[in-house]
Amino acid sequence: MFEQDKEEQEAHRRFTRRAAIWAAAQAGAFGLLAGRLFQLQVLENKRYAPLAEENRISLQLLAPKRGRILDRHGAVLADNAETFRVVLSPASTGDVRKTLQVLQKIVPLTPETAASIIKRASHRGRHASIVVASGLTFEQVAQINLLAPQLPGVRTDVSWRRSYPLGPSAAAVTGFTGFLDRSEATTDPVLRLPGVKTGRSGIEAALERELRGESGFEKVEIDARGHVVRMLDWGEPKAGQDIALAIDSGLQKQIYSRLEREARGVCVVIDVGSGDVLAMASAPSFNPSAEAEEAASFNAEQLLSPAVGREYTPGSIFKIVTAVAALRTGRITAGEIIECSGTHDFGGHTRTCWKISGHGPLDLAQALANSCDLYFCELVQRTGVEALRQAGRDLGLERTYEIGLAGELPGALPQERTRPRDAAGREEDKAFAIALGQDAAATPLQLAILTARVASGRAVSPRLVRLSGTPAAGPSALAVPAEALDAVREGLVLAVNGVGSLAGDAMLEKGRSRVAGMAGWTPRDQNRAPAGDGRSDTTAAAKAFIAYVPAGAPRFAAACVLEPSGDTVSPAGNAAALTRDVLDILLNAGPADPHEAAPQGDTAGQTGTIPGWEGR
Amino acid sequence: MASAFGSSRHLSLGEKLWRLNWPVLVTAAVIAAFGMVALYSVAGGSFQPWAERHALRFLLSAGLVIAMAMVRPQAWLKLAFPAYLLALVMLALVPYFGLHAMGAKRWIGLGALSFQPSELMKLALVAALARYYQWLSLERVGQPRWVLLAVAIIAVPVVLTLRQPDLGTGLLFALVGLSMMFLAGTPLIYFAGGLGAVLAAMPLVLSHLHDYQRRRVDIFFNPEKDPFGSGYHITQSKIAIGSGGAWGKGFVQGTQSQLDFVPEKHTDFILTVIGEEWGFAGFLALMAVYVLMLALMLIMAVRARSTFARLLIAGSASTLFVYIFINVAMVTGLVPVVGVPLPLVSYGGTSMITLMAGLGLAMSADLHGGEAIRRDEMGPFL
Repeated sequence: MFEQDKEEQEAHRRFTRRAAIWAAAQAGAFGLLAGRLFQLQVLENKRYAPLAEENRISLQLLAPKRGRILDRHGAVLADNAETFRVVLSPASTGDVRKTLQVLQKIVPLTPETAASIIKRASHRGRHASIVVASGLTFEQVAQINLLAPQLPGVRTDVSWRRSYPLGPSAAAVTGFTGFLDRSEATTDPVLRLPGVKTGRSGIEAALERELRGESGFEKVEIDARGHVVRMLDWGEPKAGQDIALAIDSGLQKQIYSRLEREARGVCVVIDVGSGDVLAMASAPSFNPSAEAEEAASFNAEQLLSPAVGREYTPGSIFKIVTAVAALRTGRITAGEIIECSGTHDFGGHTRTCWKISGHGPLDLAQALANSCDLYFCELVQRTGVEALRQAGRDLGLERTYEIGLAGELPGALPQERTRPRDAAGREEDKAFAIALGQDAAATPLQLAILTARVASGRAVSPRLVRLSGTPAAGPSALAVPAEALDAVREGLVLAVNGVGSLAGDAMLEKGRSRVAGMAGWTPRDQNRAPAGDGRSDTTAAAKAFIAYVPAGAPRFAAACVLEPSGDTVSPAGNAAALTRDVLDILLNAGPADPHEAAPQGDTAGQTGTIPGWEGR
Repeated sequence: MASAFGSSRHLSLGEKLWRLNWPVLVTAAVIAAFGMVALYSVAGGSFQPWAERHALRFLLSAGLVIAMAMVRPQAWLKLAFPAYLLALVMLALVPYFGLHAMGAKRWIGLGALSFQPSELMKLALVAALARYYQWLSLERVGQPRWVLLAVAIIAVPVVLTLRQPDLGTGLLFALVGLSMMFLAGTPLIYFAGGLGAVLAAMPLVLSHLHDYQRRRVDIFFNPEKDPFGSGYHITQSKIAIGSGGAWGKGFVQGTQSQLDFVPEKHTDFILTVIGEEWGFAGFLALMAVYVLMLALMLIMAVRARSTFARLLIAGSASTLFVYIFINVAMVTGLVPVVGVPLPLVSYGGTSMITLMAGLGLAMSADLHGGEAIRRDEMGPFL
């Protein structure tokens, strides 16, 4: 008991001591608080002293100026145009209806607009501002300010409207800006300011953060009617960064006009040396400068950039991949001859070449130039899917490049998978489908990269946004032996320039540089095998053409894809002709066209029909 | 006072009423009256919708306080750990059964009733810690494992509330818990070491904060950048308070002008109203009454004859103090916005009930203070 008592007394003593310290700490804390209030109310009160009875201090966020989007030469693709606006602050307005009536004498409003403003004035936070109208003339602004006493809570300000000098021709690249839907959450208070838009697609969306900048603020004293009496404090907004692209706006415009003549298509042009995307056009396009109301009607498809957002079966273009894979693994040499007789039995499956009568003996370059199905089916079987995948990846397929556009699709390469067995118990054979390029998918950008890689022999990567600072070291060499690439290139040159060439339409006029290229397309209902994963639903039946120029010293690589409208199956000539025109534009735009002398005996410049070839 | 030998002489009802610590209750009433006056002003010169309810709530809570004070503290002793565990379980369940209110899951709905488990924890934590130290013998208080156990008792509710997310209440638990550890006699070296550990762990904590909590801290340094968000509250509040000057703008004057910009002025930012209308003088007056109440509670604590009683009273007083400090600091821009009301002045039923219940516990301990609680009368848990 005594122990407990003594312990109790000791505990009591300790407590009392500690409680005293705790009390002192609390007193100190109260002193701190009192000091703070003293500072705010007595010391700093002088700052707010001349405040009249009904005046108050209002804090406003200042919207930053959005960064511009520029092309490679500094030409402007997306700009900010000044616009005058009239803004209403419901808290200072009193009778909104009456004020609007006075305002309508200067700025006409439709009854719907007026009603909507009145509605928003009662719902929104009282100190949020509502944009009544924008795009005012200077006279209107002056009149409004003259009538200020009769317009409580109304003020004019200068704001920016996004303008796109290139309009629809660059819309797929620039994207457009629009208002955020109220349901979309936002952490940045700038977006709640009236009239501030945010990027919705393209570069505007992908680089929103860099383009937006940082908001500023201003602290003003306003009287009972919401008119500014004096400025107390402010912070400058920080303008957004200008973004420079690799795009050449002149090329972009011209290529788009040419493309527009087709029903639906995409065209990507790359500089072979640097990977710079010089132009990326698609049709049909949309007008990014459309006002907010129209913007709501943009469909999801217009919001993506088709050059990276749509996948197509490469068709015969895939034969390039097959050729590289086979050459690289030694399954074929450039000189080995295989005879195409028109039909062949591949392990139990009879296959027919597109040229039913057969091509006769072919080496690799000739097989590529003639796009012989049987030749490449043989190669696919010899090489195997794994080596094909490796080659495809090395040539830039089945991956994304993160070039700065949202919705980039990675494409697909053929895969090893267990195959269903047919009635006779034989495994379904995919080799033919693979050879025809039906079992793969690629975006137009990837097709252009593939072309550039073959043309240069280097692992070129696309570059759309030019970042500041020194560029990284140039692309490394492709892991493909030089002889292999030479053979492929020879095939591509032959495809365009050879006698009876399939892609003769891609040839430039006599005396100009030589074009090397290849067509790929998906004929309807022919040997069409689904490319696994249900992907066939999304890839469209289209005609693609890839080309690079000049053949001997490549500078530009282009990939054009045309989708037919309606039910017409157009001959390959269309895509080839389109590509030729595109290349023509490219060469005209650049410095003097480095001609190549036509090699001996080469009948470049001739087009002819191939016997037996009927509009395929 | 009864003898130190722990007599359990039962007092009659009349005697109990006589012994009740009326001064502290009256002081609380004065503070509540302050609140009522301020709420009258906020409503633009009307008792509706806040002032009247506030007064009624206080009267009911006062009844609760008196009733609780009648109960012997031994009851609280027995209930302490069970209540703590119950509150802990409920806190843990909030993410699963919780309701969303104002973007945070804090309430548990039970049909028509819904209440915040964190409110129960505010009482239970104090009681549990007091109980813990009642049991712990003096020489053990400084030993590492018992110190660690106390920290654990505090830390678990803190973590659970931070997850809700409720930064203000988590902070409250931490500060109240730590002050109770201090008052119980934990050696100072632990506090020094703890402070060091906290500073070292700060980056980790910051990275685990919810997005909006982090933004609050960020906006704290640049309130002007978010004038329509949480930076708004602070900037407008400071302006309003500042414009009150030394003597204020006068009763019901402030709300017509500057205060129009301050949201939530009937709850967390009620001090802004007092600051603008009553000025520095008004602020000091309110603080003086708070200080008086805390002093009275301190006296009650020192007078008590058992560790449990002392810590129970001191814990309730600490809760009150921490509330006041955080709220005033927040409203004047010293501390980021964390959503803590001004006790007995802000409108809001749950916090008033909790505070008054805490006062009830304290008064219960004080009223029966003569009865020392013998350690050998009780086991470690019940």
